Amino acid sequence: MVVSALVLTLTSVPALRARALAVLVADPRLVVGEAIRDRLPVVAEAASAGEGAALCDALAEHEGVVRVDVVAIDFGEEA
Amino acid sequence: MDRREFLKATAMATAVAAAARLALQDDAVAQPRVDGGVTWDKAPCRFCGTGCHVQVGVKGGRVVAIAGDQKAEVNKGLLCVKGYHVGLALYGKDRLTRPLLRKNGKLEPITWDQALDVIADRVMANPAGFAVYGSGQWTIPEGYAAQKLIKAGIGNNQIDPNARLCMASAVTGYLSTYGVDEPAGCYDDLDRCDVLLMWGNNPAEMHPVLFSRVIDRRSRGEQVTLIDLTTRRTRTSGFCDRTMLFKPHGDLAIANGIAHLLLERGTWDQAFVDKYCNFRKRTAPPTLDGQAMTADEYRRELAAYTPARVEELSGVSPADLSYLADLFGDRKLRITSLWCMGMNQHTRGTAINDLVHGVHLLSGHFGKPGDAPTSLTGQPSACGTVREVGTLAHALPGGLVVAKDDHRKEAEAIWNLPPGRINAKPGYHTVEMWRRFSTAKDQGGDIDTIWVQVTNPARSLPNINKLFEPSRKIPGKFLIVSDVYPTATAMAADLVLPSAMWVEKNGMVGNSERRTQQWFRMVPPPGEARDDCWQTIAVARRLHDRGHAGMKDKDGRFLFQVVDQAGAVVPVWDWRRYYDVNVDEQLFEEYRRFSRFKHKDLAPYGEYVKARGLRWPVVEQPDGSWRETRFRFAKFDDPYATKAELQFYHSVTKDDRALIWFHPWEAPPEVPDRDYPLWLCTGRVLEHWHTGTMTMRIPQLQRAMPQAYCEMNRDDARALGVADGEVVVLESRRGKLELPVWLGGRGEPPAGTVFVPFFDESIAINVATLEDHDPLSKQPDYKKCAVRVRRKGAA
Amino acid sequence: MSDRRGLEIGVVVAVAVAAVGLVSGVESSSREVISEVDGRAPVAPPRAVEARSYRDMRGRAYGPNAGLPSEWWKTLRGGDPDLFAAVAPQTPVDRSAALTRRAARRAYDGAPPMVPHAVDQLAVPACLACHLDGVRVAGIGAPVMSHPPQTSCLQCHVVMNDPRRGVVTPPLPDSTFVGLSAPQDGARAWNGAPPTIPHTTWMRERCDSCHGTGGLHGVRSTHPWRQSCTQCHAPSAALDQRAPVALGTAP
Repeated sequence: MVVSALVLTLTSVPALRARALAVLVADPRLVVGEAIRDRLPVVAEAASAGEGAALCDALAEHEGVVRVDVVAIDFGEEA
Repeated sequence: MDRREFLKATAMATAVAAAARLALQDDAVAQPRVDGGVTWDKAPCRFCGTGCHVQVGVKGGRVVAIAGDQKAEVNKGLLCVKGYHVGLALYGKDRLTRPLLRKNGKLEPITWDQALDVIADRVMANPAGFAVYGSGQWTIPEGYAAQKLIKAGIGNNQIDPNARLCMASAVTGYLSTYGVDEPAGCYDDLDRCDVLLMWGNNPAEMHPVLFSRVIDRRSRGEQVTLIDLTTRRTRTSGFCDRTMLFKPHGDLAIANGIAHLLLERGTWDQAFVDKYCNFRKRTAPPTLDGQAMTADEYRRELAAYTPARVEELSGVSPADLSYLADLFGDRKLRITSLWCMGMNQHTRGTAINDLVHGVHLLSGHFGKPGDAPTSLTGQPSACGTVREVGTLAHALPGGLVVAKDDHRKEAEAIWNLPPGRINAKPGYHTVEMWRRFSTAKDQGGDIDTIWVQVTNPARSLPNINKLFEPSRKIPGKFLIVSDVYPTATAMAADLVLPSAMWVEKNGMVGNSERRTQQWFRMVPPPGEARDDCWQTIAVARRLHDRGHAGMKDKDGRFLFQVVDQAGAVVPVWDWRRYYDVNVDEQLFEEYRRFSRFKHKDLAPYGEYVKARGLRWPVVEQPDGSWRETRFRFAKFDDPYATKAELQFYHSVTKDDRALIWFHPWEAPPEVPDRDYPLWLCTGRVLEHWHTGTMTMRIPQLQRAMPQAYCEMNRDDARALGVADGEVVVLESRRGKLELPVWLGGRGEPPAGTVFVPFFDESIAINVATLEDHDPLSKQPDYKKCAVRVRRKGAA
Repeated sequence: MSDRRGLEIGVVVAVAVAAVGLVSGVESSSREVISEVDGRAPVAPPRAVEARSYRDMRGRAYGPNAGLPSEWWKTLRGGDPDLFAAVAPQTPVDRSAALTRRAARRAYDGAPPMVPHAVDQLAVPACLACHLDGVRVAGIGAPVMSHPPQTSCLQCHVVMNDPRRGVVTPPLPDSTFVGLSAPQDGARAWNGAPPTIPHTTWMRERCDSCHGTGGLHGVRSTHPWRQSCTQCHAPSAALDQRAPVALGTAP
């Protein structure tokens, strides 16, 4: 298992932002923290490093997500 | 909580912290603002030796904005990123606001009155062991006051500046070649040259306004060829038509190689040399005067510097060398050479300066606009305060020296001192002063108190483990520091004095092109911070009141007597009265009398108030106006050159001729070997100025370049198994430190070379550098020593 | 401010705890270029930047635009902007918002803006490719430079983030500087008269840089097709450092 600490930068357009948040919260692979202004702390869990990278890619493609910063990754339990 | 939950919780803490940092980082820059009602006034920029003028916007007693000064000839309204943010240098949150004295190991607030007593006690107890260590950032009046305190008052000549570390070799180069210091040309050369040759110089980062002044000519459709002679690819290299990488220390071979080809091909300017030059070689031990040599001897000495030999010594190919010789051999071209620390911080600094002047003289590329060998300075008043006021261990103002009887007499006359007051024995140069301060008294360490003003030797001295650190442990050594922030030096001091800076005080400085500039105080300093110049005068007065004989002139008047318009003495040593009169103006008017001896004439203070600086000699005209000089020694512009088209009127050989020197290439004192296989070069970056004490407190500059790094060649990094960003241990025979590696960053060093900037106080690269210095200029070499780098944790 | 320091320490501690092959610091990708100039949602780029271990990092391309996927450029919008397109009504609130956003990249009004994206630290900057005439790509606006073209761009404009990779960036210094704010609006001789220019025009000669079709909503010109701005909008001699010298005082 790979655990990543991410910071998502959200759009400032309110409608898009709300929609993006809803999608992220509903995603079982993610733990979503409290947004600080436009920056949203997120913890992502994936089975492998490759899957984690794919998840990051997918997050970046979300409407309302401006940017994904990868802060730290724990590869400790990668299968 | 299971391990998985723990990991996730930890990751969330990390993410939250990072999110907060990112979100709040935007804030630090988007600060509260003020509107309208701003007063604007002129001041030269606080940072480098270029000497740009800025317009300072002040509101409510605070600087709120900066603009390029459109009336300034130096920068024509443009600045660099440091200049645009110079106003923020006043507002770091940790400004020093009270005098602090170390008690039981801890710095504790005291009053100014107590602080002055502490200094007076130290001087009275041992005047011979008291030294002032100053700066090329001193304003002219500050430097002049310190100079007078030491040379006319305390009388031990123990004063030297950080500019010793910065441009001393340029001084000895000018003195040995022309008999008088400072460039003949000026920045106007940059507007006219066809070729700009940069010797170990990176002006795109270090003198950006001058650099863009040249490259913007290209945008206007003008042709100008830029050549970069360098030991690593820099931001300048990309703009250049030709970049020639050379081995450290190879510059001497290159200059000799050019001269050799000029002679061999007959493309040297024989008419020019016959008329204006003599040949010179060094003596043992070396002196600035050297000894005569014939043209044939000169030619024979150079014969060894064939293109093949030059390639072997420097790595520059015969084709590149030939290209350079072709340029110098072309009489139609105008060639300007620029250099700064690359040539000056050199154990053969005087020699390489001489050789570059020699190449210009030999080929006649001298004395016409655009044809000039011009050194640049790193500090705003390295020229104005250090070189002109002479705040060096051996010098007096105006180019006079303590060792000459007639010079001392002149100074004693101007200062109204009893005959014989000035000591004929020079004090210690910078490295020697600090070596003795870091040596116990019974082992020859006869300097026991140093008063540091406007500089940060704990980070900027070379080999600080030897020259600085021991002094903090030896009993009886006392360090006084006047500064604006808790720098590394201030935090290591025994007594800290809070200073006013830049537009918190009146000031005058002199830039790299002989331009003297003036500004007025615009905002009050914070807390109890006070002008350095006041501090010096107040200490002098305290010594006067204690009966120190040196603090009175021969008529019993205080050394720094200042009078008002009615002629009444103003007690300016009392801070409340300091701005009752313009102390800067009075000191400057006295100092200016020294400027005639070497034809470095300065105009009255009032002329500088009106101007955006004036280039000396500034000579009074029949109609009462004052005219500056752009091209020295040239009859068409310099009023003192009257006999011929070019007249070197302070010639070493007393025949109005300049000297073309021969100096051989010789190996540097330390070269990479099996144990320490890499060359280390240190230097600056665009965003930061010197040790970062001001610029690292400016959010915009710090965020663009927040930390020092070790720049490495990719192949070297691969061989060491070091990744980009990885923290490594860098080690020389003198010290070691840890820092992150940056691959593909600001510069690109060739294999076998690393570069580390010195702006970061937390990464003290000068633990590694050498204190070996040039025999004449006493300037150490920060550009080359041997180091090794390993991964942290690796043996 | 001390809170931020605390958080910094928090980051370090947390990273240290979780430290196994971490990428320390925060990845600075070119993604930062996204500025919602027109207030609309940006198009997210199709790939995120991967986390990398130290071992992987050697020998890879890390140019400033290495993170920009090639497909992105396919969405480049061609053609010149429509100068005659209707401009939505702009209120003082819009202007205030626009000025606030503008201020975030400047130390004070008149300071050169910082660069919100990565740049090549060594090569000759290629800024003019986008900023000479301005360009919009996939919702990103590169504004027209406000002054005549000069080539040493990085002399004045520096990046907003640590340009190094894979390092822990030290916290920002604390500063008490309070910068001059942008003026709110120009003076009008009467209601309906063209406003004067309330700021300097030095280094800000190209009005369309901020007020043109690519400008922020709130400070956009309602008539961008008119190109001779100073015909109607008077600049200030005092702000432009052209204040007249009092006659008779010069020697």
